Amino acid sequence: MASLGSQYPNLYFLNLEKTSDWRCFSLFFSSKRPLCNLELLEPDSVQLSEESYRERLLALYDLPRSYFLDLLNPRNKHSIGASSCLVEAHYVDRESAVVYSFLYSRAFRDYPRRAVRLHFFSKEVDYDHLLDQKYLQDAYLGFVVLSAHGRISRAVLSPPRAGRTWWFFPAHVDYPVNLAGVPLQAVGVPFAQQDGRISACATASAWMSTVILASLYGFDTFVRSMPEITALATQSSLPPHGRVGPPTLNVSQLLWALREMGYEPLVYDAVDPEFCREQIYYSIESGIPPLLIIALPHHWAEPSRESVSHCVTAFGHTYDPKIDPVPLCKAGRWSTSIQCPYFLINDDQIGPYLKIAIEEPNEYGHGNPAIRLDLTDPFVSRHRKSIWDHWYKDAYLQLILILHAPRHIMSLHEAVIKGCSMLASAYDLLSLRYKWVKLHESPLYRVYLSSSNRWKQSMLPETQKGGRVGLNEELSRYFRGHQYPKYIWIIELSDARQRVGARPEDLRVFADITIDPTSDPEDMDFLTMHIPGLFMRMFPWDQDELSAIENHHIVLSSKDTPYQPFISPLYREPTSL
Amino acid sequence: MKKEKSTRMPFPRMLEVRPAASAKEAIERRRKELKEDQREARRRIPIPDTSTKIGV
Repeated sequence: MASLGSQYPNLYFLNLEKTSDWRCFSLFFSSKRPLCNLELLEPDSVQLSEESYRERLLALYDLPRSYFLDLLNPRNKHSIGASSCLVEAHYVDRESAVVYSFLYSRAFRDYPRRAVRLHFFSKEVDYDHLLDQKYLQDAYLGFVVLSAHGRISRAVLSPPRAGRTWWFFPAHVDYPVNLAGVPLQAVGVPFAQQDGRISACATASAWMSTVILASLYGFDTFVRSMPEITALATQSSLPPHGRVGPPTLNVSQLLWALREMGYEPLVYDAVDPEFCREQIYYSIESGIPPLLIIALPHHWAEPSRESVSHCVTAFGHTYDPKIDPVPLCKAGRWSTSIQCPYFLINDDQIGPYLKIAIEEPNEYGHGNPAIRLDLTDPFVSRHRKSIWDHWYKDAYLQLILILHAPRHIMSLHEAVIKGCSMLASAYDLLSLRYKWVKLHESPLYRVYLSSSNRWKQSMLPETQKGGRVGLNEELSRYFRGHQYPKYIWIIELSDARQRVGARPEDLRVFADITIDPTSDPEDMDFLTMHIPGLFMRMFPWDQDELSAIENHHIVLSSKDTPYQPFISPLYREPTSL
Repeated sequence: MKKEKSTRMPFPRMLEVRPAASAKEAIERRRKELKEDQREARRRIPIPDTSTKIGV
């Protein structure tokens, strides 16, 4: 009987914990003459001559490939935890194919067009496992597609092990993968590296963001490849720099491309650090990865290229329960974002899962908030010189671009103002009637946009498997039984004192309101509202909010206790590594 | 040119419960404040410079 390897002629396995396999694997990420499509490998025996290895080892490993190697190296204690790799050679990658058709197909010189896809697993995987979907899925950590030129065409990798605080990834994707007939889900954050000739950082960032949004907004939006995004952006205008250097876009062109893709993007000038943190935090909490446009005063290209900015995608945040929110709340900072000091970003030229903080302006920022990269991050510290000196030193935030679906969705600050006003109104009105209605001393709000179906699904009572701790059946039925539009804004109130030192599963919400994002921000309508012991609702035909609150509120008969907020299913706990 | 930090939102008064003589008075006051706050927030948000070039 023929070997299993001959039955899967384009699949090869590497044990990343074995030194010889790791040496071979690392050559896929070499910047100079990257190993591609296993031209030196034989089926069933992954080997490389010593001479060939040494020659390639001399080649520099530059960013972001060196960053990926650190993420994937099982000898690195902070890595994603990959133990084995399945190499899928001669892979037809849509992104690479579009780049080829836009650019390389017109070249006189022959350019290869097949990519290679690398799959990572936390356990040892061999040909024997290729019919065992459960085994593969349980161990699956995602994939990296390398183009024929060694560029990271696409990647979705499981997040690495966190540092000293919690890492949350509300804006992530469950990316479908088919591996030799086995359907798998890669759960993580998409990453792509610019081509530099027909795509730049703006297009790479837009791609990363829209891949996540397409899964959130479903049929309303489409995913385009990076060259297609550049083409949409410049279909009615020329790139500002013509054909010199990377295809630079201006913000208007990027907005135009996103609009053509079905979004209604909002762009904010970055002025006040707190306002910026709020916008970024709540966009991420809504599963919408914002694009951050940042200035790099010390970038190597800056002296020769006048004021060109960089673009990155934010998709996660840290949570540090050691930050005491009570004094901050008393000082007028009423948002749960105060316990989330860092944002997690993808930078197409450096790597995924970088940590930044938005801070008071530096001397270069002309009043714009400074961006501080966390240099203690184990991945950054290894590349400190190149990442810091040439990129993030004295960087500052210029603009925030938030992508919404086309539903005339009210903006974040409009939703916060409306939601908090309505909750306070309910307390105002009902405290006149019930002595026990009293607002907590230190309320913090959290706001996010969600599909109503997803939110209703999450409002499961604690009596059910996977239900929210503290949520009783009566209230759950009222929430889940109401009729909502496709998307809703949710504003939750929690007690700052209860959040001190709280693990995420111990956080609690005591009041909340849902708002129709297509409603007028100046109208006082709402969908559902809950304060301790009372539930209110407005139907689409209701015109009188006073009557809905005062006359038609429902006094809950079950004991109403604070309940768990909605928490992203993808997170990393602090580690003592 | 140094920019003014003017985008901070008028949040504090929204999450404070204030006594009122009647429900009607309370809701009318909130209605008025909601309009004012939304307009003030809109006024404070500067118009972004969309000519910024991106691409390193």
